Amino acid sequence: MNGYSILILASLLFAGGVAGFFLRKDLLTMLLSAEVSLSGAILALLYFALSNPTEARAGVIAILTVAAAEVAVALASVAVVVRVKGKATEKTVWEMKG
Amino acid sequence: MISALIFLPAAAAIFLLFIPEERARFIKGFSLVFSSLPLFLGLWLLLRFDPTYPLPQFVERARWIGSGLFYHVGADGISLMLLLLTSFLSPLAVASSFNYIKERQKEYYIMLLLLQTGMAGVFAAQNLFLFYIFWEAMLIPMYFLIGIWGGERKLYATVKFVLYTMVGSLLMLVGIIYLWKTSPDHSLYFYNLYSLSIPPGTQILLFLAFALAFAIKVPLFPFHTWLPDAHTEAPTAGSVLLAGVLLKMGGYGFLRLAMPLFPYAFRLFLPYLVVLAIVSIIYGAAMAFVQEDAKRLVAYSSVSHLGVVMLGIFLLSFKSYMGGIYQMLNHGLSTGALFLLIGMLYERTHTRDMGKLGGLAKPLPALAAFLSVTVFSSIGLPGLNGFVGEFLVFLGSFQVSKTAGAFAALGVVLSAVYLLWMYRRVMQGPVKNPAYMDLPKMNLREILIMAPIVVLFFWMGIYPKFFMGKFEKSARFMMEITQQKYKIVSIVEQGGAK
Amino acid sequence: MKALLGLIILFPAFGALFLVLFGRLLSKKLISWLSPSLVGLSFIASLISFFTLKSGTLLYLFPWLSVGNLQVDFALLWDPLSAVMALTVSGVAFLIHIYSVGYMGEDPGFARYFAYLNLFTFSMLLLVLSPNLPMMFVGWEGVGLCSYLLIGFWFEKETAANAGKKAFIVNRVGDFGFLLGIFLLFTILKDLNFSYINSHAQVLSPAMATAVALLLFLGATGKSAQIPLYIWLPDAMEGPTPVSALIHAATMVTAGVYMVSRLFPVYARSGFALDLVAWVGIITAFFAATIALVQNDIKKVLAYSTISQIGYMFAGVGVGAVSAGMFHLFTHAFFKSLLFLAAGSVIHALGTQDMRKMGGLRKEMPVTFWVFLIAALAISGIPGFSGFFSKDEILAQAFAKNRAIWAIGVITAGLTAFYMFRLIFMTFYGKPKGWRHAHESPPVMTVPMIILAFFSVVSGWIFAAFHHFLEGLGYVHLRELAPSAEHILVAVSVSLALIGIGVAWWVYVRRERGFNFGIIYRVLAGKYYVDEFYEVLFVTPYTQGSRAINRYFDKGIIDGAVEGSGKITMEGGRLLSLLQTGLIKDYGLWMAAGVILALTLAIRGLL
Repeated sequence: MNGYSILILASLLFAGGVAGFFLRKDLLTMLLSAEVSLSGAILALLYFALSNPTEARAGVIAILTVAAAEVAVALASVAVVVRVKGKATEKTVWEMKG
Repeated sequence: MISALIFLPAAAAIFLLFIPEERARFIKGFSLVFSSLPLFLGLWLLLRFDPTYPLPQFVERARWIGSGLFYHVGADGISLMLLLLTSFLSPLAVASSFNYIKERQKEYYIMLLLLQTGMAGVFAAQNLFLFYIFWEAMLIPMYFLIGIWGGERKLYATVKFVLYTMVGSLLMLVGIIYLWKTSPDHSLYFYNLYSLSIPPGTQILLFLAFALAFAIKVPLFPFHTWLPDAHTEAPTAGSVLLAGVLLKMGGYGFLRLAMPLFPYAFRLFLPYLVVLAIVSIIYGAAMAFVQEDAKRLVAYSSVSHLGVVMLGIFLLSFKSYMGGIYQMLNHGLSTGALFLLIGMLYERTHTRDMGKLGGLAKPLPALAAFLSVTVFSSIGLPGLNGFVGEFLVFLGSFQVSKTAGAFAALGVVLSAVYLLWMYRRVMQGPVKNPAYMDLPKMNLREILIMAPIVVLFFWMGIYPKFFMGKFEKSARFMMEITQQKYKIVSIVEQGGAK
Repeated sequence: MKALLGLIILFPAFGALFLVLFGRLLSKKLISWLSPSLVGLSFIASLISFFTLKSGTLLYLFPWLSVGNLQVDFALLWDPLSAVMALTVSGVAFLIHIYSVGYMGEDPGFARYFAYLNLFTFSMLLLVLSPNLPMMFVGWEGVGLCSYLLIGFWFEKETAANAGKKAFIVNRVGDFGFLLGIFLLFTILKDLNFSYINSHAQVLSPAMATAVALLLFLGATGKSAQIPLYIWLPDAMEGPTPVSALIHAATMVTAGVYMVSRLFPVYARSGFALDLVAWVGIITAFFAATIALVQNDIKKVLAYSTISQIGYMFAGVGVGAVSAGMFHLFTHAFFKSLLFLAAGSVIHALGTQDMRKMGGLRKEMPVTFWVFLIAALAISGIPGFSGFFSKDEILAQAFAKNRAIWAIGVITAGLTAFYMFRLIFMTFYGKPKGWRHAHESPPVMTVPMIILAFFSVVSGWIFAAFHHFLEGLGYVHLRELAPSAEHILVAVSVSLALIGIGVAWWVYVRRERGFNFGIIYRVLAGKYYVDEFYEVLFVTPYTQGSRAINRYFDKGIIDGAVEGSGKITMEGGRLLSLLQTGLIKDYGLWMAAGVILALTLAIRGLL
C-alpha cells in the first residue's frame, strides 16, 4: 500500500463521514458519521507523520482528545434527549433556534 | 502617600463586605470616615507640595506587569487640585446619602467608596495604561449606582451612560495599544509619550479616538445626551460625583493627553473644537432654560459650563488655560452643590418638577439662602469663584479671537436667565402646595455639608491666587508642551522632585 | 491714614456678614442700632478721609487676579471723583438705614433686610473706590445682586420676584457689554487700572476708543436704566420704598454716570461715543419724562423721573461737562432719595401707592408734605434749590455744545415740573379719596427726611467749590459762557418750569381731573409698549426657539441618532440570529462552507 492509497482511504472516510452527517436524520448516526470523518483526518495525519512526526502526532492526539470528549459529552447528551423525548432525531431539539 | 489616598476607600469597601447589612449606622460612619481620610492626606500633600516645580511630585513607581508597564502614580499641580476636589466632594456625597438611601445600604456605600478610588486614580495615574484602567474601573460603580439606586428610568439611563462612555473609550484603547507598540520603552509614561514623534496621518486617527472618548465625557455638544438622563436618574451622590468629578476627566484628558500627545492633529481640529465648545455654551444654556425637571436643568447647565472650560483649554492662551482649569474646580463645587441642594429638596417634597414647587424660601429659608449663593456662584458673580474662571477664560479667548470671546461671553447673560428662572420657580412666589409649609428645616448634617462648599466659593472668588499658585507652573508646562509642535524637549524620565 | 479707606468698606461688610450669619438670633433693637451705625461709621471714615487724604491715595490690599500679564489688585483709590461718590453714598445710605428702621419695623424679614442693605452699601462703596475695571465690576455686579435681592425682598409676591429677576437679567445684558469692553481695553492696553487707562487713552485709535466706549456704555445703560435697557427700573419699584430711594434713585443707578466720568478720557478720545452718550441721555430724559406724565402709581412716577434725571446726567457728561454731570448726580442723590422717602412715608400711612386714592394729605402729614415740596422744587429747577444749580449747569454746557440737546433738555425740564407737581397736587391737595385715617410718620422716619431736605436746598450752593474740587482729576473742565447768555438760558428754563407747575396746578387743583388725550394717553400709559416689543423680539423667540430645539433637535435628532444606533445594533442582531436555526446540520453546513472558503483562499494564496 503506498502513501497515496492511504490518503485516498482517508479522503473516502472523511467524505463518507461528512455525507453521513448531512444525510442521516438520527442524531446517533450523525454523531457516528462525525467520528468517521475524524478518523479520516487521523489517518491523513498519520501519513504525514512519516515526514513530519512531531506536529502530526500532536495533531493526532488533539483529534483523539476531541473524539473522546465528543463521545463522552455528546453521547451523554443524546442519551438524555432520548430519555426525555423518547427519540433523538435532528428535529427533536430545536430550542436553540434564534 | 498618593497610593493611600487612592486606595484607602477601596480598602474600606472591601472591609465593608464583611459587615452585616443590619449595622447601617456603623456602615455609614465607617464609609464617611474612610472617604474623608483621603481629604486629609490630600491637604497634607498640599502642604508639602512644591508649587515651583512643574512635573509630578510624590511619585510612586513599582514594577507591575512586564512589557515595561509600571504602577506609576504622582501628582503635578493640576492633578493635585483635581485630587483634592475628588477627595473633598466624595465625603460630602457620602454624607448626603444618609437619609436618601434606604435600601441595600451596604452595597451602596461600597460602590461609592470604589467610585472614589477610581476617580482619584484617574487623576493620579502617570501612565496611559493605569489611566485607562482607572478610567474604565470607575464606570462600574457608577453603573450600579445609577442602575440600582436611580430614579424611574434608571435602566434606560444607566445603559445609555455606560454604552456611550464605552464606545468612546474603546477607540481610545486602540490608540493606547498603538502608542504602547510604537513607544520605544513601552512604559506609556505620559512625559515620555510627549516626546514621541507621531506621523501626522496617524496623529489624526489617534487624536480622533482620544478626543471622542474625552468629548463624550466632558460632554461637548453633540455628545451630551447621555448626561441629562444619567444626572436625572442618578441618586444625589451619583449626580454630585458625576457632575463634580467625572465630567472633569474629559477636560483633564484633553489637556493631559489628547492635546499634548497629538499637537499636529489638535491644531488641525482646533477650529471645530472651538466651535463645539461655544455651541455647547449657548446650546446648553438654551436647553437648560426650557427644562421642567430641576435636575435636568442643572445637567444642561453643566454642558454650558463645561463648554467654558473646554473653550479655555482649547485656546491655549495662558489666561484662558488657567481659567479653564480653575473653572473645572469651580464647576465641580457649584454644580455639586446644586445637586446636593436639589437632592435635599427632593427628600422633602419628592418631586423635582419645578411646576409643582414654588415659594419654598418661606418654609426653608436656610436652604434658599444656600441655593441662592450657589446659583450666584454658578452664574459667575464677581466675588464668588465662578467669576474668576469665567473672566479668565473669556478674556483669554477674546485675546485670541474676538468673535469666540464675544459669543462665549453670551453665556454670562444666558446662565443668569436659566438659573434665576429656576430659583424663581422653586424658591420664590406663593407657596404652591400648603403641605410645603410644614417641611422640615435644614438639619445640622445638611448645613455642615453645605457650609464648607460655601466657604470655598468665597475663598476661591476673593483670593484665587492661593489656588492658582499651586497649579500655575504645571499648567504653563502642559501648555507649552502642547504648543511646541514637534520639537519636544526630552524630559527626565523619572520625574518628581521628592 | 490710608487704612481709613479700608475701614470705609469694612464697616458695612462686617455688618452684612454678621447679620447674614447671626441675624436670626439678634433682637430687632440690636439690629436697628448696629446696622445703621456701621454705615454711619463708614460715613465718618469717608469724611475724615476727605479732610486728611491726598488725591490719588491708593490703599493696596492683596492681589486678586494675577495670571500671566493680567495683574488685578484688590485696592482702594481715593481721588476727587471717588471722594464725592463715597461721601454721597455713605451719607445717603446712613440716613436711609435710619429711615428703614421705622419703615420696616413690622416686617418679619427685618434682619435679612438690613443684611442686604449693608451688603449693598459695601458693594457700592467698593464700586466707587475701586482703582481698576475688574474691581469696579465686582462692585458693579455686587450692587446688581443686592438690587435683585431687595427688589425681590417680598419674594412671595409673584410680581416682586419677577421684577428682581428681570432687573438682574437686563443688567446682565448690559454687563455683557461691560465685560467685552474690559476685554477689548485689556487686549489693547494690557492694563486695567484707571490711572493707566486714562493716561494712555491716546494710544487707542479713535475707532477702538469708540468700540470700547460703546461696549462699556452698554453696561452703563443697563445699570443706570437708560434706553435701551431702562425697562427694569419701573418694575424695580416692587421693592421696599427705602430700597427704591437708596438703590434705585440715589446711588446704584448713577453708577453708569460715575463709570463714564471715570473713563472720560477714553470717551473723549472718540467724539462719536461722547455724542452718543449725550443723545442717549437726553432722549431718555425726554422719553421717560413723557411716560411719567400719566402714571398713577406714586412710585412709578418717581421711577420714570429717576430715569429722566439720570438721562440729564449722561447728557451733561456727554457734552463734555463731567463735573456738571457729577454735580447733578450729587444733588439728585439728595432730592430724589428724599422724594422716595416722602412717598414711602405716604405709602406707609395709607397702604396704597395709587395716587387716585390719595388727596388732601397736606394737613395730616405736614412734615412729609413740606419735605416733598422742597424736593419737588429742587427737581423742578426752581432757583435757590439744589436742582436748579446742577440742571442749569448741564443745560448751559449743552447749549454751548449742541443746541438741539439743550432744547430737548429745556422742554424736559418743563415736563419734569409738571409731573412732579401733578404728583403733589394729586397726593396732598384736594379732598381725601378713599382713605380715612392717616398719620404722620414717626421721628425715626421724618428726621432723616428733614436732613435730606436740608441738603436738597444747600447742596446746590457749593457748586463752585464742587467744580473746583473735581478739576483735581485733571480731565474735568467746563466751558465758559458769557454771563448774559447764561442769564437768558436760566430765564428760559425757569420760566418753562414755572409754566409746568402752573399747568399742573390748573389741571389738578382747579379742574381736579386730568385730560384724556385718547391715543397719546394710551401710548404713554402703555409706556410706548417697549416691554411688549422686547417680549416679542427677544423673550418669546428665545423661549419658543429653545423649546422647539429641545423637542425636535435635542430629543429628536441627537438623541434619536443615539437611540437609533442602539436600535440598528439590536435589529442587526435579530437579523443575524435567523442563521441560528437550531438544526445541527445547518451549523455543519456553515462550517463546511467556511472551511471550503478558507481552503480556496489558502490555495489561491490570498490568505
